[in-house]
Amino acid sequence: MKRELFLAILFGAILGFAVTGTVWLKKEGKLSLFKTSSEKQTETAEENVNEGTPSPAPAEEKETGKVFLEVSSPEQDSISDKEKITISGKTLENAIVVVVWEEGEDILVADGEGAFETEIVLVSGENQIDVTAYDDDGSSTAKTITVTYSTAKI
Amino acid sequence: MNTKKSIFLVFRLMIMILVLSLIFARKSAVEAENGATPTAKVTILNDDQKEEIESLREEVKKKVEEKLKTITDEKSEVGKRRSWIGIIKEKTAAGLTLLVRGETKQVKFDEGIKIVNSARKDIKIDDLKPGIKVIAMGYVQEDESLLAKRIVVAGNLEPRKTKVVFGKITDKSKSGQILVIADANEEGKDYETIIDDKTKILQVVAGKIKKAKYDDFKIGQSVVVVLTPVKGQENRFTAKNILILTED
Repeated sequence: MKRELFLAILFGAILGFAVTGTVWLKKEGKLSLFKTSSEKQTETAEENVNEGTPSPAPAEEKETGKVFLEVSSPEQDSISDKEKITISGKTLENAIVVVVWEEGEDILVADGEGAFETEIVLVSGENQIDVTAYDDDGSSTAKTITVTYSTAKI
Repeated sequence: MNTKKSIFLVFRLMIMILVLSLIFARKSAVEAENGATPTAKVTILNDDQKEEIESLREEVKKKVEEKLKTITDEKSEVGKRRSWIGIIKEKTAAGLTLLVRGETKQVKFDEGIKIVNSARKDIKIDDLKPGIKVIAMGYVQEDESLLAKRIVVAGNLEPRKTKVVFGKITDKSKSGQILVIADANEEGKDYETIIDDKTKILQVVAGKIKKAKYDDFKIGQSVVVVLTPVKGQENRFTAKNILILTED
């Protein structure tokens, strides 16, 4: 009887170790016995990639080759009572920005966050300011801002 | 009998351990997916606490509405001081219809409107005729019209002669300061570019713009250049500003 009892405990312990070992391996990610739904999704996505199924490209890659340009100052159709104004805006990081105004031009390099800024001198009345941003390949986006320089009281 | 009893005992123990282990393993997997199991907490609030929560809720709602209004107002043109530059399309006693960048806009005359000609001499509303280019200055109204306080008859701007080119240096003169720049965006288009004493020569060095000189130009370099045509020479340009993009 003692021998049978000993065998029962021994087999039970072996079985127990086997099951707990399985759980441990699963937790360590070395065995997938009970997969969580997120793991299943990840695996499906990986499978899709392996099978060549088209998946959305990362956002950074989507931006490649496209030049966005925002001119935050001055506003379109604004009136300035000052002769010197600042042109500022945002584009791609390190993009080349060319600003051409009535009596001058400037070539700038946007900073690491894409911000750019330069000072220009206005002529009396209508002023057209052409801002063009270029990426490394020469792709560009241009904007024209119209500003009126007037010291008259409005 | 003893042997049968022992086998049965062993079998029963094995089943029990197996079942317990499977339950434990399944529970671990579910917890790993959901994170920590949330503990439900029931709090009974008294009237004062309920009122306090309600007042906080109202305050948050008010602040969100205020913020949204600020954002909308910032985007809106209403009330902003603007100048609309365009050609008079129509004129009535109350105002003008202007063609601004291809778009039709309504301008209303303010009671105290001042109208001047290009020499800044006072003129009358009657002097404004269709086809004349004007700068109407005033404030944008809720009906998207402009209440003009001042109208100036404007001359036409001269077409801009400057040209911005992104390209590559394909040739460099050794006798004079002349470069040939091939436009990267227009195949086959080359610009014979004169670099004179007034040309601002710049180069990108470690992400910053530094001053450069004619000797720094090399064939194959990418450049951005602002050009003006040379009078009487169709295909020759003078560089006003040139930036070398290729770093050595």
